[in-house]
Amino acid sequence: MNHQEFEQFVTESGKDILRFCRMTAMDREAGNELYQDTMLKLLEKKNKLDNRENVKSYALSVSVMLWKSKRKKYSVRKRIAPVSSLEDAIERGEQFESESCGSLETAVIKEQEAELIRAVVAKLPDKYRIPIYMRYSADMKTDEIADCLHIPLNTVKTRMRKAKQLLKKELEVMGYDR
Amino acid sequence: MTDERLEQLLETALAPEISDAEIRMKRKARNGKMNKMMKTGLALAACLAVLAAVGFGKGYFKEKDNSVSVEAMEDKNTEEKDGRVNTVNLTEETSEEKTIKSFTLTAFSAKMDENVEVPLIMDNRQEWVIGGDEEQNTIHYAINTFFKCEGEDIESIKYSVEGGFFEIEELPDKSIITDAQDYTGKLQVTDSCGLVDENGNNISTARFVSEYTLDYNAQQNDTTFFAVHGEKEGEQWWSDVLFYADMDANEAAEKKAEIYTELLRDMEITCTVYYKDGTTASATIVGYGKAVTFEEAGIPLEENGEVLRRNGIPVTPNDKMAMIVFRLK
Repeated sequence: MNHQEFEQFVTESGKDILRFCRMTAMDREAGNELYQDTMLKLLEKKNKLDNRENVKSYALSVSVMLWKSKRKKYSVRKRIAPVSSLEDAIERGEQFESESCGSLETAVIKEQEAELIRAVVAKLPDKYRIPIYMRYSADMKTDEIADCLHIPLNTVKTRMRKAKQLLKKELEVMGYDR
Repeated sequence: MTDERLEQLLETALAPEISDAEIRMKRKARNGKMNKMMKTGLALAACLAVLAAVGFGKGYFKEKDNSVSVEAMEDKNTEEKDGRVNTVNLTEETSEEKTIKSFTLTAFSAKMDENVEVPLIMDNRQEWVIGGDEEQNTIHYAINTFFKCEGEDIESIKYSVEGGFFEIEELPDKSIITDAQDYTGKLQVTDSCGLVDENGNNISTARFVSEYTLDYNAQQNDTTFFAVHGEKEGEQWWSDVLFYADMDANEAAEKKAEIYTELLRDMEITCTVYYKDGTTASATIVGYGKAVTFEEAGIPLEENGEVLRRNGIPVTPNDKMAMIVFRLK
């Protein structure tokens, strides 16, 4: 992979990888650092990378490996869904002009809901959490996740199924969509 | 909650927008000489080992010939086998008479001997974890240990370790430890992640000790796990081999085995059994790395239609993997 191809790869897959890193590290700054470390590692190896292969899958493998071996550095800080009122948000001068949300209030509620979901997912054991992030944050297919984690396809499916069961249970206990 | 609703929530919550500016690289690549060791993931040890709390009492490692299984086995209930085959004969003199006593020491249910290597781990297994420390240039390891003694008239068993320390994870109300000596050595003891339940909640306490004692009749339970930790100053090429290994997988296996041996060189676990008549006997356990073929390790290359792959490539019987093995000294 030459420099241009690498740039292209970053443009095409960078967002998925960064999203995955932020979710996995459970912290924006730590996730950014994990992303930078991952891409740096890839850049160092870019001459050995073949862009006909699934480089994104390899990149996520590197992220997982880095995160595992550097867990202290990316300090696992369990996120707690923030209790942020609409008034607080307005006071901070936050702008909510999402076309899909329509109103400031809806936008805040949506963001709080997203934070809540992220917090619940973050509580899952790693073996369930990582495949969920790969699927939803990094937009990976199940077979790609299996390849990336070096585990059988059926194991990925089992873990995803179990993860969703746990999430449903937790969300329902919290009174969510019961 | 419907599956569709959950799917929608996850898609929305876990895929926030990211701008083009955020994915720009902010650092330049280092050259090889600048590579530093990885940061220690000591906590990872317990995490990985314990997150799969399913592992307790299931005997991941079977006896020789099929002592290591592919990860596809992970979610199945593998039966623990009785590994007792022979006995280790140890002699002990008392003031009154010379008696010959024997006991069998097993690791992961496989009998240990001076000439029998019990494979402990393979790559990506959850019984073992390794991490590095960028600032301190060290490599730390943590290996789950499942030792068990069998013999007659044994009252209690003490395990002590040189060149490392033990971590014990247990539920406070289900402790089987009758005595323990806190670790006060120079190695850094880091918080472990502990035992978690299926919802990811921590439910255990961790103890870091240099020795611990168990009653013969209560050597194991489903909520106690043991790990041995150690640390060594690494060489710069270790991190590439251990954590990134983009070299040929067989070459990497050889190098990993070399590193494992070096990491465990100073680690010795002594098992001392206390007999009811007041006599004792002991055996010393050592560990080291070994590169073996998948065929030698007895690992099935295909299971339930799933082909075992490494870096996306199907594994062949002659492909090598690095293992840690234990044997009696």
